[in-house]
Amino acid sequence: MRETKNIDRLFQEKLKDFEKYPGQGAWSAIEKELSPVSPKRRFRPWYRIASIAAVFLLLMGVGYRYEIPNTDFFEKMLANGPTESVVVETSPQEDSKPSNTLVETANIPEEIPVSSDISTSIAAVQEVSDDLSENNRLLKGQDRSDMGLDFAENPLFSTSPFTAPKTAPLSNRFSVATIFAPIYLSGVDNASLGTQLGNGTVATNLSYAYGLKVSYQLSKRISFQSGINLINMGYTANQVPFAATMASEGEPLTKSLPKNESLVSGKTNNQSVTNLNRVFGYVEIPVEVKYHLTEGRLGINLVGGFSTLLLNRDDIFLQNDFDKQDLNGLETLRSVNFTGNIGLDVDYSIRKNLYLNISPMFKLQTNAFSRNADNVLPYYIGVYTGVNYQF
Amino acid sequence: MSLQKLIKQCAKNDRQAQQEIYHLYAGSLFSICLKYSNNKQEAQDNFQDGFITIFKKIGQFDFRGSFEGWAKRVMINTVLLKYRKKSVLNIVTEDIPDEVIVEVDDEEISLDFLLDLIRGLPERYRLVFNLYVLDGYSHREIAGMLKIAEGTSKSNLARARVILRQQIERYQTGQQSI
Repeated sequence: MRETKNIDRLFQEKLKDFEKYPGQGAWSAIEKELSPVSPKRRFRPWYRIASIAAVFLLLMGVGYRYEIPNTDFFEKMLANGPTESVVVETSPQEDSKPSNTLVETANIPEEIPVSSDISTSIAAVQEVSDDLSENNRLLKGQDRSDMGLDFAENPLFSTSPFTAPKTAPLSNRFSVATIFAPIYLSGVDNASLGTQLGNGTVATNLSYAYGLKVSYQLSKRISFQSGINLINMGYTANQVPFAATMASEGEPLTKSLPKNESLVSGKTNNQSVTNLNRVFGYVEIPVEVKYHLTEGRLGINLVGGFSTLLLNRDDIFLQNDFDKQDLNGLETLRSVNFTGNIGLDVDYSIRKNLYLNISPMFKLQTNAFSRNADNVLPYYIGVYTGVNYQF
Repeated sequence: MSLQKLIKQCAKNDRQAQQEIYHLYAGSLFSICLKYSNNKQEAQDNFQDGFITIFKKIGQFDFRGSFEGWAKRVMINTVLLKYRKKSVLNIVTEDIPDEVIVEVDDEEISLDFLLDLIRGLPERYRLVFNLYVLDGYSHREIAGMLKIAEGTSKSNLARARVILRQQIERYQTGQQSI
């Protein structure tokens, strides 16, 4: 029976439940066009586990390496006593030229008077050694978790075969990046040995860092990253007066200075320009969280976290136009300290899985110096650049 | 395996999950192709292209709406992209009524007949009629999808309706005379 109907409704009603399956060969045709399942995929979990294990062992190795010299250093220092390690004495040679500024550590006879400032320095160094010994004990003991070195509890390593592999879906991605960064150190003026000893200005030298960064993508927006960097830093304290004074006297400094007068008081005559240089370095192990702001070819990320710094070099020397003299043994840097890190991380894709990476970071150092400079918070800015490979 | 997990596995190019998704949605998605394409062979080709696009883009699905709705949109867009490239229809600007009434006997009109009518429409008319009448897109959306003016979409729809009514009436007249 015929009825009038809106043509739209006619089609809508008739085709409402319309469903028809394609022929048998349709799936095969689609499957052929889909990208082939890579046989490598089956082995990818092993690559990941191997990568994690390699990083884990690398970090463990670094920790072990820096444990040994610290132990030797402090055991020796404690056995010899503070007097031996810090007393500065001019050369006993009578015929030494005025330009020679020899400073050495040696045993000195008990009857030689020591100025009160030197005594203070001795006390300070004793404190440093106490602090460092404490750190050293921690390094050797079972208390590593206090220092952020407990890999088992670090979320970055939660998928390690050595810990519980219970979480971390395999869909998440790892990336490895090489790093090089010029470092601009600042905030050391009040803590530098040079300004403690005299009134000279302090100039920081251009420093640099290099290393490896490993990143683990936890979710679409969040990644954890860690790695290992070697940092080299330095500064120069200009116009430190005491080396010239020693030289001009031509006799052991400790004998020439009246009791209770500062070693470097400036009251002595014939001062000449001598610079104090300090070159020091750290092994840095950062643990950072990265938040992805944008995705695609240009990835912009916010980065925040902290780093553990292990002192691996601390050379101090006096230098003037004529000579250079080591002053090692006057360390005021702690062997372990930390930085709070914040910065940006920009990735630019140059090929599939390969990115250029630039990451300007601000790092504020805590407890870098010994107790007598605790109020000083040095900081540095590094522009970390490198190539990032995702896998 | 849950649908969500299946989708995630598909994003990792898991062939078994892809096959399961295919079997779940092949019927409804092939039907779209039969309506939007101008013959069965093209429908088959469009279906394959559309499904490959779905698997390529499945990682972009954000689990907010229904997956079937998302897959249909991808399928429709794939087909439209193909026809949009070669569509050269002229714009018809004559006055045509918004509503077209036809006198029909439901018993006489089969689904396959209606499908044949749709497929017999000129390309743009077919696309606009499908999008507006059968899939509920607005003229503004259609204009965006086909890169045409909104007025053109309305005009195409009206012309499609008139053609369809003529075809149905001719068919019924033929049936009566048999």
